[in-house]
Amino acid sequence: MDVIACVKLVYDEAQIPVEDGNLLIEQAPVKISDADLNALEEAAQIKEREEGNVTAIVVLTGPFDEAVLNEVLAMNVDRIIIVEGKEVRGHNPYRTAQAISKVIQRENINYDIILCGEGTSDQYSCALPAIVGEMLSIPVITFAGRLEINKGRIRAERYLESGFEVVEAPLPAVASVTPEINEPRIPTVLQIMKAKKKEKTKVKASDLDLNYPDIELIDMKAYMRERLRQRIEGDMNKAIGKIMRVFEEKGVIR
Amino acid sequence: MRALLFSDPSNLPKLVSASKDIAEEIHAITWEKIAVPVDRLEVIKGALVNDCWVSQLHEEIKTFDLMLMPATRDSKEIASRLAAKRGLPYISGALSLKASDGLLTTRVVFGGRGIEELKISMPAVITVNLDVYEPSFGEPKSVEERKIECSSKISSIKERERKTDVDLTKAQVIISVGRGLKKKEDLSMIKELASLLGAEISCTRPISADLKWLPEERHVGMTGVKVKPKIYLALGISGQIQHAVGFRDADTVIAVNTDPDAPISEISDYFIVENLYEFVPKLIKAIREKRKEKSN
Ligand SMILES: Cc1cc2nc3c(=O)[nH]c(=O)nc-3n(C[C@H](O)[C@H](O)[C@H](O)COP(=O)(O)OP(=O)(O)OC[C@H]3O[C@@H](n4cnc5c(N)ncnc54)[C@H](O)[C@@H]3O)c2cc1C
Ligand SMILES: Nc1ncnc2c1ncn2[C@@H]1O[C@H](COP(=O)(O)O)[C@@H](O)[C@H]1O
Repeated sequence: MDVIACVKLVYDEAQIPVEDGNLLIEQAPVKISDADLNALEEAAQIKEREEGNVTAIVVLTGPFDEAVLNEVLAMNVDRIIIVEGKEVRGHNPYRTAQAISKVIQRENINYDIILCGEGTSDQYSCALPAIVGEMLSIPVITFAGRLEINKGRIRAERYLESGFEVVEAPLPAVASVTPEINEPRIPTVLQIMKAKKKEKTKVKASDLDLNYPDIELIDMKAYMRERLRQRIEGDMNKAIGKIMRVFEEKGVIR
Repeated sequence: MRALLFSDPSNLPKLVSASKDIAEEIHAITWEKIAVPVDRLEVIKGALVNDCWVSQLHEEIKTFDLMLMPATRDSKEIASRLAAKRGLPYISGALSLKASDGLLTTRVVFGGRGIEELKISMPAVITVNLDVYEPSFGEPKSVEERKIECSSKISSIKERERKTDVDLTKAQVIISVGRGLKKKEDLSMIKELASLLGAEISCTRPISADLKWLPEERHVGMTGVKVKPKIYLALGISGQIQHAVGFRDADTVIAVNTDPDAPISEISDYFIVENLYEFVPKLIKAIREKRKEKSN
């Protein structure tokens, strides 16, 4: 059972400094997009159960950090394919999906299942997995909170606003997973050391002949709201008194 | 501009509101008859999986400038697949739409820390975040009902549950619980407080998704509901950005947390460093007393 995991490197949103209403994105450290850790963990578990290879594909739409690539490889990934070049920079799920589909075909990567995160930590479009499925003409299963693979078929619990839907499809297929599906492993230092020696293939985006509808980024600002930030510590009566006054001001207690 | 709307019945009235400002002509497709003021309403029956909707809408979309859907998980899949099939630009989870030599949209990024403005050409496919819209009701100018058959490689084994009528976006007071709550039974204390305040109960994603103590439609945040109550009382919630973006538009945020350094301390109006198990019973008592006082 060969698995492809699609992994995005992102700036850590929790650590982006803000100055005058602007986000200083580039000053934040780079990390693996949160739900992609779950995709990697699920890929590793499938490989450990069924034998086969895990290939990670990273399209460098944003930041790059060699150390983070090694973290990807340390999650029992066999090799990593990196698509790079100005042609793929910036957020455009169609373009990124096309880069992934084309690189899978060009490099002849075997797969029974392609795993993605439900959505990225920075953009959360939840678009790429579905588009890859369309481009490769394979079944699409999104928001899987549980996956089972049995006799060439995949069964998934899709995790929706209204509860669960259980679906089944033949392999090969693409699935996006939610953070609830598993607990991602934390690689040991030794595993990270070993990861450094694993195969990293770089592919130039300019060789993939990408064509896609454009999305133009006009502006980006911080989306914060200032709060009073009054702290009440160590005095329960004062806390209750304060909250009761707020309730009364807001007309909550009738 | 002509817009085609595709939505589950419960989100359609809000989606109509979102499209009214930019579209002159609105056609809507859903699967139950519902009174919305559109030019044409198509009710398509047949218990269809996403796959079937993709192939169905793929034909319907051809004559429209804009295809709009709610930003639900199913729609996000259907919308992105349609856009890919037709080679159209797709924007996911738009907060606002404006026509101006193409289409301007805004959307939240970086888990809620940023908001970006994007421009695309039309025709295009958009999923819209409907939490800020009021529903529009009225008679459609024309209605067509039909049933279609569809076979797909993907089969639905277990039918999904139906959404209930809870609309947290309307709540004036919200009591929200996070993992500071130790067991499901403790919700009874929260419910008691909620009923005293006429409040709705909401939660963080781990409470609904991991623990399943509350239904999924009650989780607040980036992947859940965005609320705008007068008061948001956060009990045992750390205040990760993915949750916090959901209560950004609340008037007043009160947080109770045992950890004096919890991130929510930075994004609340009143940050109370207390154990919720001591705080909540005392608050219930104080409200009861206050009420007695008032009725005397
Ligand atoms: C792609 C993605 C999307 C996500 N979307 C969402 C979303 O939409 N909504 C969402 O909520 N989360 C979302 N999350 C998860 C989010 O990142 C956080 O993990 C989650 O919000 C944390 O929930 P919590 O505050 O309940 O739990 P924790 O972070 O574990 O916090 C529990 C808090 O309770 C406090 N506490 C413990 N005991 C007590 C006590 N007795 N009294 C008072 N306080 C106590 C602790 O000090 C702590 O601060 C998403 C994550 C990902 C990866
Ligand atoms: N640049 C990228 N490189 C590799 N995989 C990606 C990239 N962007 C998105 N993905 C995958 O697609 C999923 C959904 O991304 P998105 O549609 O941007 O929310 C992510 O969780 C990844 O698995």
